[in-house]
Amino acid sequence: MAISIIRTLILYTVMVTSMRVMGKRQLGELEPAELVVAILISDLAANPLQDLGTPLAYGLVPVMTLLFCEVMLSAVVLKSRRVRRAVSGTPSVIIENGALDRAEMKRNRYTIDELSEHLRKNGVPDISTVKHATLEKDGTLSTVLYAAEAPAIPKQMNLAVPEPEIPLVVISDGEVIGDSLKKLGFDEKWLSKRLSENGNAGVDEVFLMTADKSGKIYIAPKEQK
Amino acid sequence: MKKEIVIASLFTAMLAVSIINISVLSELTSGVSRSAEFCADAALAGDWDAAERYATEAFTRWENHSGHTKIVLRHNVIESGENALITLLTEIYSRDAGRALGAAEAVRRNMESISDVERIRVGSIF
Repeated sequence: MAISIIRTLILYTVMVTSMRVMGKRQLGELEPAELVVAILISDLAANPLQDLGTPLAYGLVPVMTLLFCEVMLSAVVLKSRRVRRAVSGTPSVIIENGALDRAEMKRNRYTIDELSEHLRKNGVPDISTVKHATLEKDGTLSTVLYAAEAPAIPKQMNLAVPEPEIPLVVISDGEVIGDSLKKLGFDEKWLSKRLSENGNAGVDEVFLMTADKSGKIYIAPKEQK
Repeated sequence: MKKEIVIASLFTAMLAVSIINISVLSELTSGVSRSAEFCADAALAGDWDAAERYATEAFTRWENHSGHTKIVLRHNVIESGENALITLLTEIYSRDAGRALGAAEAVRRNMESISDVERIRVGSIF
């Protein structure tokens, strides 16, 4: 058991360090420490599940140790900027004022192809429209376009736009979600009225109905046989 | 902060249990080894009753700890220890001093290997 704890601590440290050295390209969505836990935890849990001759403790002890490492590291990272930089890294500015920083790209082993791919995924087909691009700690690219290239927002056009409301599911597969109705400030009487207005005889006929506080609704009826 | 304290306490408890486990296993394996050695000495001296008593003592000691060993040792390791002890008992019953010595040595080595794996040393970590 003690050996298991020590081994897990060593492996965790080695893997987090390796992930940091490998750089942002290897990550994706998770930060280095999170990725290490994600990789290790499934394998550790699977071992005693597959082999009945292995005591459950052989899976539980390393998982608990990883949990300890992760929670403690998160706590330290929250308190110390230096540790945060060492563990999670820092964002890298790849494009600044429209100019590619080749040294930063080289440092991150980030190719032009990868940059183009990330830009396309961000809906930016033309690199010349990008003023700033930052390779984030989790390996994703965030971009800021030149003001002239960025989509106009209502404020810039002096337009008055109503604040959006979040629609809630009020009927799911023929069942009324009472909590949602209550949150929206409506009742079943209002629901029946809206259903009949939209040509639906009853709740049973509705597969999905959403509504927001302004009263805007969406109805998807159940498939007719 | 509450979460961190709970996790740190759990980890400390786990560490303490693992240290206790090392000491319990060490006591068990050294006890079984000692009985096996006494058994070999008695067999060599031709005192088969004493040899049988020591072999049974070693086997009983091992069996009495099965609740603990099943939690902390791989089942093939437990079986291997159990088989070594059964072989020792068999050789004692057959009154063959040479084979009994060999079987006692096998028990001793088996116990030593279990204790070595659990002990915190550079070799067992890597």
